[in-house]
This record gives sequence, structure tokens and C-alpha cells, in this order.
Amino acid sequence: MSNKNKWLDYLLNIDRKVVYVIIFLSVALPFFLNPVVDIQPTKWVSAVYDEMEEAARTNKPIIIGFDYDPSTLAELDPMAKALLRHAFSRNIKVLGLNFIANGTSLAATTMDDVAKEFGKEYGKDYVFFPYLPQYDLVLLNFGDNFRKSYTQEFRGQPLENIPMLSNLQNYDDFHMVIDLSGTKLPTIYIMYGVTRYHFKFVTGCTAVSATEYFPYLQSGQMIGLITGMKGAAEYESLLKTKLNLPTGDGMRGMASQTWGHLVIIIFIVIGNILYYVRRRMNMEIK
Amino acid sequence: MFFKKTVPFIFTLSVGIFSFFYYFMPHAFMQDLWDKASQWAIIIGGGAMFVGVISMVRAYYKRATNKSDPNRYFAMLTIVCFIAMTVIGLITGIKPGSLFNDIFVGIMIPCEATMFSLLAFYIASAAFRSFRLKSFSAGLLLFSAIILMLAQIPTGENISPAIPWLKGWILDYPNVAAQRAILIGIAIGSVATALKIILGIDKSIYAGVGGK
Repeated sequence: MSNKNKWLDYLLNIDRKVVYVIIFLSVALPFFLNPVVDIQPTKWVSAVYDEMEEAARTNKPIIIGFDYDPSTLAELDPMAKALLRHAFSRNIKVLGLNFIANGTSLAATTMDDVAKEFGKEYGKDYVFFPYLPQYDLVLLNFGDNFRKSYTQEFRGQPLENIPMLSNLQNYDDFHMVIDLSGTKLPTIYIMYGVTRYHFKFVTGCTAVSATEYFPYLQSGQMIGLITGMKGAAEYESLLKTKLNLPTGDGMRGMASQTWGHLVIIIFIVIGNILYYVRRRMNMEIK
Repeated sequence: MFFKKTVPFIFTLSVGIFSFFYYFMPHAFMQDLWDKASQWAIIIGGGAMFVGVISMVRAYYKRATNKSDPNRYFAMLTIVCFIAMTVIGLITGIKPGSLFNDIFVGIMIPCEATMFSLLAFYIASAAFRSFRLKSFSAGLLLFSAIILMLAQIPTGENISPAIPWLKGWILDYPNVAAQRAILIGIAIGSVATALKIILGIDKSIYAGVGGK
């Protein structure tokens, strides 16, 4: 009995470094395995894909808000790349926005990298607006004319010199708006943009913040939702099956996420079994 | 007190009333006024960031020069890094390809991503030590967490199609009900707070009044 108790005590109070090593191996090793290649898209991710196809049919540009910084880069950058790949492969023009100062150069680099893959030209096929504070006012002004807030694009050229923008003025000239963020910014887009100007809106967010957007999906204020690494992988899966585009970081990261989640679930189960056994033993002793 | 309390109150009241009427009256005159006001606000927003920077430097300078503070070297490092990045940014610019951007991409991104990824280790450790089936509420939380974690990986679909379905049900019904209640509560609270500030009932926002 005492020997059993000793083991239980040892396992229940196991050094946290052991837990850390196990989680490190479960997350790091899968990067050297083959990436996940098949994943079933949810209806909200499929809705985003279909809307992008609709943008290609109507030949209207889209807006993507790159509102993330390095802390949420791992989840949101694969999403941004997948969306940009879809847009550029279907010749959809993209206007990039940013309201997170730390994410400005990340967004510019991501847009440039994906544009290069498809031979797209800055100013003609895509353009990026610089960071501005007071996003609520910028979003309200955008409903009338974005030139009220922006006078030049990210690289410093006046907006008059950008051919892509010549016939564009406000939300009505774009097919939809997508915001990628781990912050509250998608809610701001809904409050100041969707409520007043009624454009089609999609959010790409981190998995932990996904729950707060479901009311907007039900109310129709949001037409699609991409959540976390899995959402990015689902979008990549759609691109692979329907457009034969190669998969990216989303699929690659899913192997790590799979093993990470499984290890955490196993920890929860083992921890509870040990707790239950310990409690029964204590009751028997009493 | 006139400039600290009365003048800000007059400004707040006028801007509050104007913003309210602008939203419901899309008249050309209101639009012109709004355009100018919003440009001012964006400029003031930029200025506020500058004030924040001054405040940060003052706070860290105070700590860096306090010889009894054992963490003063971190404060010194913060000030040195701040000055270095400002000077480099002013000289080389901040666009991709500049030294400023290279430092940001090479140091800031890995550091911030590392800090965030440490969460995985803490969550795993906490899951093992503290996530216990001690009551019915804890059981609900445990059950939902396991279903959502399984549904967020391809293994969930492979185990059973019921897992993604159950995840959808949890998110679409109990989650939306709770989120709506929270959202409505926040909205009513925000309206009440805004009205208190606009009408001058809540004076804690004015300089020298807060905290009293």
C-alpha cells in the first residue's frame, strides 16, 4: 500500500520539467514528419472560399485587414497566405489594411512574398495602406471615401499614382472585407463598418478568440469564419482540391497541433485518473 | 479647476452630441464637420502615442537611476534599445529591407513568438495538475474542453464524425447564448458609461480628478 502511495505521490507531483520536455517533443518532432494532407473544411471556411470565388466572378477587389503581430503570427500568417494565394491565383485585386503598429512590416512582407509567387505587381494587383491610429474613425471614413484618412500608400506614393485605386472609393467598390486578427478588431469592423455600410465581412482569428464571433455569424453580420491553424489548414485543403495549389504552413503546423492537443488530453486523463485513485485510497484509509 | 474640469466637460458634451447627431443625420454640413473632426482625431491619436512614449521613457529613466532598484539594468536596457531603434528607424526608414525592419524581423518576431508559445507548456502543466473532475461544473468544462481540442485536430474527425458535430453544437448554442448575454451586458454598460461621461456625471476622466 505504501509503495503504491509513493508512486502516486511521485506521479501527482511530477517535476514540471518532465511535462515541459514531453510537450516540447510532441510539438517539435512532428515538424519533421509528413504534413497532414487531408482535412474536412467546416461550413464557415467553405463560405469564405465560395465568397472569394464570387469575387473572381464579379471581378471586384477585396480588402484584407492584417491586424496581427508576432504573438499570433503562427496561427494567422498561414491564413493570410492561403487567402492571398486564392485571391492572386484568381486575379482578384487586394487592398491591405493594418491597425496594429507591430504588424505593419509583417503584413507588407507577407503580401510581397505571395504576390511574387504569382507574378503580381504592387500598385496594379495589390496595394498596402500604412498603419493609422484611431481605427474606428478610419473605418467610418472608409464608408464614404478612404482618401479622407489615407493620402499615401505604405511605400510612400500618393494614392493618385496607384492605378489599382483609380476607380475605388469606399466599401461598395469591394466585394468583401476580411479581417485577420487575434484582437477585438473584427468586432470594431462590425460595429463601425458592417452595421452602417452593410458590406460582406469575414473574420480570421486565433482559435481561442473564435467563440466570441459566433453570434455575428448567426445574425448574418459575418458571412464566414476561419479559426486558428485548423482554419488555415482547411482553407489550404480547399485550395489543393479545387485549384490544385500547394499546401502551406497551415497543413505543416497541423501535425504539431495534433500531437500537442493529444498530449494535453492524455495529461488531463492521467491527472484525473491519479486524482481519483488517490481520493479512493485516502477514503479507504479513513 | 476651470481648465481641468469645465473646459474638458464642454468639449466632451459638444463632441458627444455632435457624434450622436452625425450618425443619424447624413447631411452634407454634418459630413464636412465630421471629416474635419475625424482628421483632428487621427492627428491627436498620433500625438497621444508620443505622450505615451514620453511617459514610458520618464518611468524607465526613474527606475534606471534608482540605485536601490535591483532591476535598474533592465530599465537601462529598455532605454538603450528604445533610443537605438528610434535612431536606426529615423536614419534607415522602416520599410522592408531597412536595418530597422531587419532588427524587428530578426529579434522582435522570434522573441514575441517565443513568449506566446510558452503558453503551450504552461497549459500542459496546468492540465496535468489542476484540471480535475471535482464537481458537475468542472465536469462540463472538462468535457467541452476535450471535445473542442479533439475537434480542432484531424484526429477528432477520424475518431467519430460526432466530435466535429458536437463541437459545432457547443459553439452554436450554449456558446452563442452566453456570448449574446455578455455582449448585451457590455453594450448596455458602454452606453451607460458613455452617457455618464458625455453628461459630465462621471468626472473621473478629467485631469486631476481621477482617483478622488
